[in-house]
Amino acid sequence: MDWASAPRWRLLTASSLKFHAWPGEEFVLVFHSASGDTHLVDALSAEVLRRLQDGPLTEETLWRRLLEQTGFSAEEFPLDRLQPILTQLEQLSLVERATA
Amino acid sequence: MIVSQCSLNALRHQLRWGGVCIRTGPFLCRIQSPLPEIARALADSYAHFPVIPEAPFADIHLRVLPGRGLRRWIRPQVFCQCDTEVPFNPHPRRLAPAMLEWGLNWAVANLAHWYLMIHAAVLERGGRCLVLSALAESGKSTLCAALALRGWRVFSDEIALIRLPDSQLVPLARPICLKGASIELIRQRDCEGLVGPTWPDPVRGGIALVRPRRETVAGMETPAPVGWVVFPKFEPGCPTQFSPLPKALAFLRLADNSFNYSLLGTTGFQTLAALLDQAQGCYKFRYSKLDEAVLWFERLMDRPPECSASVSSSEWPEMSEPS
Repeated sequence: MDWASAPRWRLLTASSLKFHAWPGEEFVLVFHSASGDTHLVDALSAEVLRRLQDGPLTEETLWRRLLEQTGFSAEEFPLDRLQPILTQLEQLSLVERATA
Repeated sequence: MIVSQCSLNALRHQLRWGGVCIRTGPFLCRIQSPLPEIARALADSYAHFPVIPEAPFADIHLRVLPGRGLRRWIRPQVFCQCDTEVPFNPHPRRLAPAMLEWGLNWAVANLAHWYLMIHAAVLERGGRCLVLSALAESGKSTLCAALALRGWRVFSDEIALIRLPDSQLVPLARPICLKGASIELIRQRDCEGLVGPTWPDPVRGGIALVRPRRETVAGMETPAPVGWVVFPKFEPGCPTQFSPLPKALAFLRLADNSFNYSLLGTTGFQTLAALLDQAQGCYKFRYSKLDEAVLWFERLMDRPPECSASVSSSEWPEMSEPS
């Protein structure tokens, strides 16, 4: 797929997300100030949201940045594992597919 | 001046005409009522609280009034009014002192949004607070009263007030409201006469107030940091059981039990997160035997902080952890 036409993901609103986690715990709290909702997500989903705070990204770019950030290899975290995470975050109204 | 320094007649007169202003924790409450039982309730349950004569300003204005029309005389009723709001349906007149408590709780929960407020009992011992957060009928007030009789400082049995800048817990220092079977359970342990009379109430099995100790009232301007957050549940016949709870899950439970978490938005999130940063541990707790429960809490709080962080079930041999 041409990278320029690949679908891009972005945070649903430009408003900031707040994160909080405690050492040794697997879940991260995410506060979405636009909706006032508080979500409990796993650490990888939280990392996806953090990366998208920089702006819209294609799945592949997002995946590569996640690998850099987490230190996972492509075998440990293949690209097709990113899709269900994004779908779940979309269902929580935290991210959306960028139309432009 | 404190309430016990006022004669009953003076309280009655002041309640009927200008109102009595008492300080409970950070709130100045102006109480007005023509009912003599409210004067009696203040004298009994608020004996050590400061009275502020001629107070030009009050945070809470509460009136406890007799029922209207025929309900003044036939099966008489009582209702309360906070400013212009009437928060509850009228109740039988014999529950007038309980109506005073419910009205004050309602007023705090609906007005004091400069605090994060959680439906929880809070007690302090050794400079750290225990937060007992639970839904109604979970045995929270019973535990609170039992610990109070063991010398713990009661901040509140209903509303945890969390200061927004630093997440310190602020005392409210009000009486503990007991219901049903817990009244006699606590009365049996009460050597100091802190438990007041039981008001008959077929719905709740009776209501009684536990008067705060003098020291509790004297310390009501001294906040304290959280030590432990526990979610208790009374279950008849259940052995005393506890299990550690991740702070993230405790956060969601506390947010669910909050009166104004959503209203405070980002500030609420940050304040609650900071509270749990300070907490040394969070637990789910089930019990049916009050003495065992009290023992568990005293051992929990008496542990030095560095040990407390690693409490495990194996260190509590006489109690079991749920599978």
